[in-house]
Amino acid sequence: MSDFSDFLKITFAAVFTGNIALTYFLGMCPFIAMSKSPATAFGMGAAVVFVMTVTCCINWIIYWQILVPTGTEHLQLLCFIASIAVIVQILELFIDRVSPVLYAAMGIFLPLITVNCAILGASLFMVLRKYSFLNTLGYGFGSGMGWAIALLAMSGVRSRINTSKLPPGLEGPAITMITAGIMAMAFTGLAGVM
Amino acid sequence: MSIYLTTFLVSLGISTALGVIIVIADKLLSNYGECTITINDDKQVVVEGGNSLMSSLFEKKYFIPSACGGKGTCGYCMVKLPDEDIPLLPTEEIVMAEKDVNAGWRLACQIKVKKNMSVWMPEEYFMIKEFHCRVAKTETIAADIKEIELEMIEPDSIEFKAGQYIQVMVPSVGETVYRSYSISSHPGNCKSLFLNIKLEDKGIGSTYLHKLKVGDTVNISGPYGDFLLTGSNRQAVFVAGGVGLAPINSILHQIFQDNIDRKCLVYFKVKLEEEFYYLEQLSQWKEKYANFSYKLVVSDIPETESFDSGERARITKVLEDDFQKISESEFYLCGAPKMINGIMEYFDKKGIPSDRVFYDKFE
Repeated sequence: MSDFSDFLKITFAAVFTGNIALTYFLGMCPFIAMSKSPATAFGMGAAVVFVMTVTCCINWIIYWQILVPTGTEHLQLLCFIASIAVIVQILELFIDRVSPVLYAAMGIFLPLITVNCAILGASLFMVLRKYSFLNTLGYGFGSGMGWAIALLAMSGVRSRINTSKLPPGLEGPAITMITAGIMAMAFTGLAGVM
Repeated sequence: MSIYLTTFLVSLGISTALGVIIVIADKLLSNYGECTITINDDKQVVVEGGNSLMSSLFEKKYFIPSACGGKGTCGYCMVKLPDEDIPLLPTEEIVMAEKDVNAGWRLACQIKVKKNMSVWMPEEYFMIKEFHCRVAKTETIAADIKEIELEMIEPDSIEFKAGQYIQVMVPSVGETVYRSYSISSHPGNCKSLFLNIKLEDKGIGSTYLHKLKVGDTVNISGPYGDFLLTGSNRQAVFVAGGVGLAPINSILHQIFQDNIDRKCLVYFKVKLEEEFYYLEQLSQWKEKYANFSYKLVVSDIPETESFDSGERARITKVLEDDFQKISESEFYLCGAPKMINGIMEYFDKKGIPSDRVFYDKFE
């Protein structure tokens, strides 16, 4: 029972209080670039949830079942990046096959998930915090969900901003950064829940 | 076991396992097998699935106009897919006009061949052929600009209209790359054609063409494009940005050789003075034909340098100064998209109807 409650706590914390985009500021490039419309944000969010969950689990197996027993923990960065690249490549082939529209909408940002620091960051945090496999599953899924929720919220705010009149000098990236900052403050406020 | 050996074995094992996974995924997910493309209901070609429709058709020697070489920025490679239900892609939405989308046109460079499909394309596309040519001349005519003469070998002549362009096949690793260049010579000479090539930073097409020597062979396809002189009697105002002079030069040759009685004014705009070329030819025409005049415009010349042979200003500023003289003309614009978009915006503001403006953007 306590294992399961740990799982829930870690998942909740990863989504809200320790949101990887808005409290650690990881993966900001696609966060800004893909939040222009809710439709593409949804696609990108779903892709990140999938990649983060799968890579965290695979990297857990690689680290604890292969690297630690053989004493080759120094290979973790190399192995994590390779496994992330493979998962993203498979995801790219899959999206290209089933949804040409989403594939075209995501363009360069789909292969760029490979070098998205949020994905690698989640795997590294999972090792640092010595999570069990179950907790890693929750953490990977939660972090992905957290990033996706932040991205979707941002795209919603931006689609409202697009139709509003802004003071000169605040248009474009400026208002986006300010919005991200305010959203980050709101997410930090959730820390009290834990 | 030594740490070095363990590290080596573990890295090898993990990378092999990941490699096997990716190979299996590739076989399962991106193997579309052989697909049959039916063209205009009566021609069929069998291609390897997974590539773009444009490159698949090019491979089978069915040529579709394209200025950007399949990057999805020019919007020229339009075909219809009568039996397909592929939703409009965001990459198509950006470059295509709404009326073309509503008429069922799609961009062949963005559609992938994943199953048997039928395609409809205009009959004139079938006139486009592949040519094997030999470089007869290559000469530097301005800063970073070469004039290249291609002599037709097989077939030994090419029929084209003044203002059209060809595509050069650029050999590269993997898929063949195509780059578009306007013909600068007169259509009367069907045995060879001239190109004006500006060396672009990291441009694979221009780098390839600039390295060619006399005697080298090149494959091209063409002719493409509808940047042609109309039959109107209005004054023709040409705006050439850099090597945008190429198709305009071809049209001017046509006007003078066919004795077309039409007043012509050329604005030749470059960034720096050393980019001007064909000036001798322009001045000879000016002396010989009373109907012809030209104006040189330099936009980015440093304040310290003098320039007396023309204007030093933005092209829209020069057009504004001459507006009274040219407002009733027909306009032919050729050059970089930024320049053309700027002029189109200006014309729009001035109320010049779009049916009097023709352009060829160098994407």
